[in-house]
Amino acid sequence: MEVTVKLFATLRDFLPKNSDGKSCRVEIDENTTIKQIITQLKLPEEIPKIILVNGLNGSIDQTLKDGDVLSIFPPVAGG
Amino acid sequence: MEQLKIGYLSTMYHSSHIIKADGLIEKSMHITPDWKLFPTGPAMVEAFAASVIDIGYIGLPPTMIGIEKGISIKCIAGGHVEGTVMIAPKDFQSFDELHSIDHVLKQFKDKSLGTPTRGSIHDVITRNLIGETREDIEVKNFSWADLIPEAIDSGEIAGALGTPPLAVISAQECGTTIVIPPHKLWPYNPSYGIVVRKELLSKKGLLEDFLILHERACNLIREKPEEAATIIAGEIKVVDSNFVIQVFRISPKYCASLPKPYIDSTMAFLTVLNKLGYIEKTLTEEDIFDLTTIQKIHPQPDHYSNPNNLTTTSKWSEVLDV
Repeated sequence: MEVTVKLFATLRDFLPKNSDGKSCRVEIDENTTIKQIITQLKLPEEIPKIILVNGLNGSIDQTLKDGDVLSIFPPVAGG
Repeated sequence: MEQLKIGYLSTMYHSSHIIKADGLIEKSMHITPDWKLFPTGPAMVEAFAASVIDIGYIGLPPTMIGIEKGISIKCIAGGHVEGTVMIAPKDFQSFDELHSIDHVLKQFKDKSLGTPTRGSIHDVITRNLIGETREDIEVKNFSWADLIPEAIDSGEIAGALGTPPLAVISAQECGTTIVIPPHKLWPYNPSYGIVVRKELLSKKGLLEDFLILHERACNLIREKPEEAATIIAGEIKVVDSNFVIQVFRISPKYCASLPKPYIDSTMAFLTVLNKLGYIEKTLTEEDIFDLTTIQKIHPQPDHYSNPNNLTTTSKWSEVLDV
C-alpha cells in the first residue's frame, strides 16, 4: 500500500531527499498508524502538529489505507 | 484548584500565546487552564455551544452569529483591530500602486480568492468586499489557513484574505505580498476580543484577574514588541522572533479595551451578516457586549490608534520585504 504525505511550513525540512519539496509517497503495511509515519519521517515530537487525512481531522493513532493523503502542519497561519 | 477551559487560535498576536507561555494563569490566578486550539472562530463558537470552553479568543462576527443562534456568550474585552489582510503573488498590483480597492480586485476577475471558514471575520470581510464591487470572483473557504499558501502556489486560488501571520508565512513559502492593507479592508474591524460563557459573568473576581493578564500581554506587544516576540516564538516553536515582529508590524493595533469605535465597527457587521444570510435577527450592543469588567480594568483612553514603534512603513507592499 502507498500513501501520500504532504508536509507544510518548517516540517518540509524533514521530507526525504527524493521528494518534490512538498510531499512524498510512503510505502506502508496494513495497520500502519500516523504515529509510525511521523516517527519514520523523524518529525520532531515537540513541534505542535495538525493532522488531516484526505482533508478531514485525523488522530495520531489512526491507521491509514491505500491512497490516503496525509497532511501534517504546524498551526501558524492564524484563524 | 479551579479549572478554566480556554479556546484559542494560532494567531500569534493574540495575548493567549504570552499568557500560555509564561504560565500566568497558574501563577497569578491559581487556576488550572485547559488550553484548546481551534482552526477558526466558527469552530470555537461550536465549542461554546457544547460547553467545551469557558473563554475564547475570537473575532466578533462569528461571536455575533453564535449569539443570534442562541448561544449564551458575550464579549467582555477587546484585543486587536484590523487583523485581515489581502495577499497575492507579486505579479498582481497592490493598493499602493493602484490606489483603489476596485482596481485591485479587477485583477482577480474569473479567479478565486481563499479565506478561512464561512462565518469567520475574514470570510465575512471577503464576501462583503466582493459583493460591493464584483460578482465574478469566487470565494474558496479553507478549514485551516495554513493550507492557503500551497493553494496559491499550485494556482488553485489567485490570492487570499486572512491574518497577518498568514501574510508572513505565505510570503516565505510562495513569495506573496500584501495587495490590500488591513486598514483599507475594514477600518477598526474587531479581529478578536475576549468572549465568555454568560455563566462566567457572575464570577467578577475571576474575570478581573483574567483581563488584567490580558491587558498586560497586550501592553507588552505594543510597548516591548521584541520581548513579546521572543516569548511568542518560544511558545509557537516553529517561527523565530523576526517572524513574529513582521506579524506585529502588519497590523499593530493592540489593546484590551472596548472603545466606541470598536463597538461601532462591530455593529456595522450586522447589516453584512444579514445580507450574507449568516443571521436573520438583529442584535443590540447589550446582546453582544458586557463592558462592566473591562471598564474597571481599562478606564483610560484606548491604545488601538497608538501603535508606538511598531509602524515603520507606509508602503504596505514592502512591509514583508524589510
